[in-house]
Amino acid sequence: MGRHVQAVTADTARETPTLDAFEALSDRCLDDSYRLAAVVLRDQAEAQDVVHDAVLLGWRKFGSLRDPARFDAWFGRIVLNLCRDRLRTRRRGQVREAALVAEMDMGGHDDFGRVMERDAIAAAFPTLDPDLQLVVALRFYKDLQLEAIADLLGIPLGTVKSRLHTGLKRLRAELERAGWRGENER
Amino acid sequence: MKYQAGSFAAARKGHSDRPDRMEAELTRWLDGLEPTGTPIALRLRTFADLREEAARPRRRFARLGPALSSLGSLGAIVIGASLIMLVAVVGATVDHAHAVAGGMAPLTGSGSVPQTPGDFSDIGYGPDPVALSILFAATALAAWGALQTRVRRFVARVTYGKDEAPAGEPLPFKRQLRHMPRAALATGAIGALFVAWEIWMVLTYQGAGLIQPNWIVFFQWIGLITFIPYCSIVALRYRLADRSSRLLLTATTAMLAAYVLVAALLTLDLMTIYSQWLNELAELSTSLMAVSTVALAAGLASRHGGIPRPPLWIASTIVGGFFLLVAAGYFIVGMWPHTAEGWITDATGILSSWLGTVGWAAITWIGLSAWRQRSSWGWRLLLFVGVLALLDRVPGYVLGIYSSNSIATSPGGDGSLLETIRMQYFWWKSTGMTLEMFGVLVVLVSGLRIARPSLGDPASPLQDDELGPIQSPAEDVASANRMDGASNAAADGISADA
Repeated sequence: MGRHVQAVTADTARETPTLDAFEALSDRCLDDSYRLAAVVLRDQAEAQDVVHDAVLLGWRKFGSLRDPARFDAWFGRIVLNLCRDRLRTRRRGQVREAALVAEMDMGGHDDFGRVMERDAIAAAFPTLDPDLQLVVALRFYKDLQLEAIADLLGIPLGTVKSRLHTGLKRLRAELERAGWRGENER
Repeated sequence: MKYQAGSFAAARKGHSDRPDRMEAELTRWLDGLEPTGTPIALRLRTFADLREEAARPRRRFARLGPALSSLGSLGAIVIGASLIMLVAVVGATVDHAHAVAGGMAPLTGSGSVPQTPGDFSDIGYGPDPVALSILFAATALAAWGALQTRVRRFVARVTYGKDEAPAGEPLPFKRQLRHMPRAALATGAIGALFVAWEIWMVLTYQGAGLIQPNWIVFFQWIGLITFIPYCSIVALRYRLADRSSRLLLTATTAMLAAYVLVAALLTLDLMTIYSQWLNELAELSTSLMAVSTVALAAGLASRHGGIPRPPLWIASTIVGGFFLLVAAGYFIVGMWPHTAEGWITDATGILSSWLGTVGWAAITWIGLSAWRQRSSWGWRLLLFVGVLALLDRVPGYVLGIYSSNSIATSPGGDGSLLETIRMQYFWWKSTGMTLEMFGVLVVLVSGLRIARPSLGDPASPLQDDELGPIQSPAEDVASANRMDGASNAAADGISADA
């Protein structure tokens, strides 16, 4: 959506915080939010639920949004909070899947080896804490800078750095335990 | 270059030819999770439910749940702290009552009539349960105020104004006289008069043998004259069209006015026409200093534009905790004023000290946030100044409570140890205040540069086409923070709900 339309929508929302204005603003964020939720949760059905819930909850709290021009960031934070809650709930009943691929030889760099590596990542990633998962996903999927992640999650920059560092370290340790060999081999 | 996540991120920007294989695979794996498109059913279902939700009548007392939750947490903190203090104070009194009076009768001042709880008609020593209850209730009220959205909006409005233009960069000092703002010249003239008065005052006191020239007197004198150029510096260095500069000018003018008032009172005292009603006026200088500190904090926050709102529980604990600290000395001893003027003076004193301390806490928070955001050193220095200011003040309140307790528990007042501590505190306070005022001077002179977010990276949200260049970066950051203030609670509440 162009800047002009965005500005007009924001102006409209500022003047009359109506359902139409909210619908227009949330409709604009829906695709991005869904994609982000699907990546973070690794489950498209759950991502749909999260986006659905986020829209309804956002509407209930819409009155507290003071600057509609920052709707995207505000709505993004709601979506991420809901994703975090889902990850935490899911984590309670989680089985350590990383162990399943332990001792597998992933040394070859052919297609099969690469598939094995991705499987290993897919198994290791959910073992991270939900907060770490969020930061890593925002950094490596959304390609956001650390300042932007801090702004989006509403946490200090130092915390983002720490979580990213810890997340990558734990992920690496988990992968090495599963048979990942070294780095920079390609 | 900005801090990047790892070597792959650096490689992706073309800064390294050795990508990290794990990070590369991680990125590809995450990209692979991205769905190809948004299902149309999601859009239909979501907006149909949204319409239904909007048509549904709102729940009654919808805000009561979160409010009760936060109030419950706050109440637990306040009640816990209050109980500790109550047990300490009452325990000390009872012990002393056993030791001195040999019974459980309430202690009285030397020669005074025993008081009954709730008797406010005369001076009475000893922790009064009614007074303590009022103290705790007022503390809870103060802390609760910090949780209120309206109060926070008011603070944000005072700090940031409405639709204000972003603050400009500092102006150069070197200018022709005719180009200097009149405010700078006027306040400079007042400052010069004040310096002349101070020299006369010191010479007069020395002539009368009231003070001996030594290093601490000199040090205090340096501290007292440090604030004089504040107004002129603000008027010269910062564009007065900015809201932040106007707030800073208000702060520094209030500070100058407070000292001019003290100077006038001291002069009248020297001229032996000092009377009791002038004593009440002295309280006004404390109030002016409190206003000055609060305005200084608001001006600094407004100028920075990127200071995040402190977490609510921290804000309410600080606001309530400082109220308890400031007011406890007045309440514990249970010395109630006889006259309406006395009540007004005491209330003004408590309010001023409280606001001033909260203002310094806010300045400390600004310094801390600036430090975390790696702002310029002028901003970072605020952390040092704020911590120093709190270290100057807080021990004084603790000492006040201790003194009150000593008076309450020992009819004659406790002697030497307390006096020694007081003297030590006096030296510390004098030194600390001088350093603190000098620190503020350095901060103002350094020219507080606008903290701008980096615009170089396409991943920066401020470069997002969707947001567009509607606002300047500083304003954008400010508005984001203002939005945070209102919406953090929403997001937190949503998280809790879910």
